Amino acid sequence: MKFHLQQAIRAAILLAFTIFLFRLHNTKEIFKYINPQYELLSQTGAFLFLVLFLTQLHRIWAKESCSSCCTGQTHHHDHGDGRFSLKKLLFYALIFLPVASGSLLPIVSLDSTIAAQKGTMLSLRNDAMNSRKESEANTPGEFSENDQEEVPIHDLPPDPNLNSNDMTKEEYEDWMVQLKKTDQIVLNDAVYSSYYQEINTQMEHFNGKEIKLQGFLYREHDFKPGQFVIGRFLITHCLADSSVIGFLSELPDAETLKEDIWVEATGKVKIETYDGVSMPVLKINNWKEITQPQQPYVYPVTITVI
Amino acid sequence: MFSLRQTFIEMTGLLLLGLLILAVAIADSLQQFIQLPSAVYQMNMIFLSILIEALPFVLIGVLIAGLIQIFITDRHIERWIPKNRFAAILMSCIVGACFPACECGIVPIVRRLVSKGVPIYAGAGFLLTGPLINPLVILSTYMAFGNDARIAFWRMGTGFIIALAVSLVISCFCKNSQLTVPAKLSCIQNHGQQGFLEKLISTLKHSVDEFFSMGKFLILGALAAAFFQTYVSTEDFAAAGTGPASSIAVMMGLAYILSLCSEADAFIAASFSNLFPAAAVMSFLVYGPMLDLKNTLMMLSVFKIKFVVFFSLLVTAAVFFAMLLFQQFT
Repeated sequence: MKFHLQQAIRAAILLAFTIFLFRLHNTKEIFKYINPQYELLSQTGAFLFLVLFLTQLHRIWAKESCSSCCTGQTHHHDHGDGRFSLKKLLFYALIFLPVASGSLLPIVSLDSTIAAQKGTMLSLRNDAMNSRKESEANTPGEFSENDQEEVPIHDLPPDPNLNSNDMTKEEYEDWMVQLKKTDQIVLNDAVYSSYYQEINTQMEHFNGKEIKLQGFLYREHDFKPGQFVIGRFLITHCLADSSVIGFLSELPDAETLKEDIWVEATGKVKIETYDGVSMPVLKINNWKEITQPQQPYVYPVTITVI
Repeated sequence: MFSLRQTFIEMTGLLLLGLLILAVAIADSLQQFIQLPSAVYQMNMIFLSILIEALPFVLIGVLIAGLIQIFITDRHIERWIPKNRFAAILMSCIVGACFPACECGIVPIVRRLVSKGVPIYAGAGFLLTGPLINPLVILSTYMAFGNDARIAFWRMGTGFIIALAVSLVISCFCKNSQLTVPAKLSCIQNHGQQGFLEKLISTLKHSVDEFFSMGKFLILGALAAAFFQTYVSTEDFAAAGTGPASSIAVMMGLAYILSLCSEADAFIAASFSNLFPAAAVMSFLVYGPMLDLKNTLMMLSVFKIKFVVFFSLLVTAAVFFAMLLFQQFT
């Protein structure tokens, strides 16, 4: 019986990944990294690491003659039986890096630094440009005035869907009908992205209506003094594919407001031109600073088929 | 003797578990002593996020690769793959289109298939269509572009044709397997007489080795992609592409460095839909799943550098010219 250092290191790394992932799931911190839609898939991943670890464990103490598989130079990938060298050390350090940096560095939320690199105004402008095309196709009078009966306003209820965004087709359509009818629109987490898209594509219809929303504050260098964006990061899969959605907002004495603070604000939609593109701009009439919500990100709606 | 070994194994397992739990506790208390610029924290989050999202796919890919290694023999492959070059290419592209994979999970599978005797051109076809054409990608593309089926349709259609063309060119120029180490020296014969359970354990052992040989490239790729996202501005990048050809080049470059999963990239592409011509947006959608920073690095762990360079240039040229052509019709 012989002790194999490298096989032990490999086992340790596999176990480290297993613990790291299970711990993230256990503390729910996994949702700071991925869309909860992929929770089960990620748990499967953690489980596979455990299985691989248990397999690897048997290779640490090798029987004298290894009969299970061929060894030596003829094989075309490294079984981890070779001599330990500096190169190997660097290799294992690299594989271990994610676990180390994940445990040593704090978990943070994406903020305005990333929003700036993502070209946030670029994509807000882009989404506003969807409107021209679709409003042409839109039949006028689809939403006649007598449709606009008073609909009770949801006051940002604690979202039952905090960690996922599934709804049935009926629920989704209910939300969209409500959006068309109400005069004070509340952007809660579940409908944030759907409402955002709808308001952009049919901005004429929403001109003059009031929107209540939460979000973080973001500025771009060419903004006028009273301008800022209130937005949220939309996550499809993981943080790499995030983008900021929200509204360009105006408030006369907003210069004092710091970037990255979270606010709950109410404002009237007014269509204005920014950089040559008409887009819905919120004239803020009421706001207060809030603490960052438990779940800072929003997710696209997934319509459940069943 | 056997039971003594078993005890040793169990003790080692417990010892490792204990050590790592200790390490976690130490890491928690160390956290407060580390002070880095906040951009580094942001980059770390994106880096881990890419990895956590990719790992299940990679592990599943690695397991499938392990299963192929143990349960499928060279003779099976010989029987299944058509002798005719064109038929083989067509088949590989269609199989890839039916196979739901992502661009990092598919690399170990292709490696294993090629080492079992699948011709390199057929492997390439599979590698190109696997991540690009599958139900999840179609659905997400359809939803991202305001429930417009045309974009999804064009994405699949042009992607499929490009994959066919690239595989065809590869079949003319690349003769052998192009793997880093000759494939024939593997150890399949040994597994022939094993029982099912033993085969399964061998599968898992192969999967462990595969994970470690892929892992470093996956991690480097994720690190590079996170770095670009944190320190390079999309806006500056986008400003470079105003002409018909340069806009395509810019969107392809963006797809390459962002290294997004093919199931999620449609939403990002949609956020450029009005700023760039349709052909440029399409090039982002088609090029990204075929080739990006993350999977180029992973391919380097499998294929010869020369082949990876040739393959990358070929795919890049094919997508670029196909999209120039596409532009003429839209």
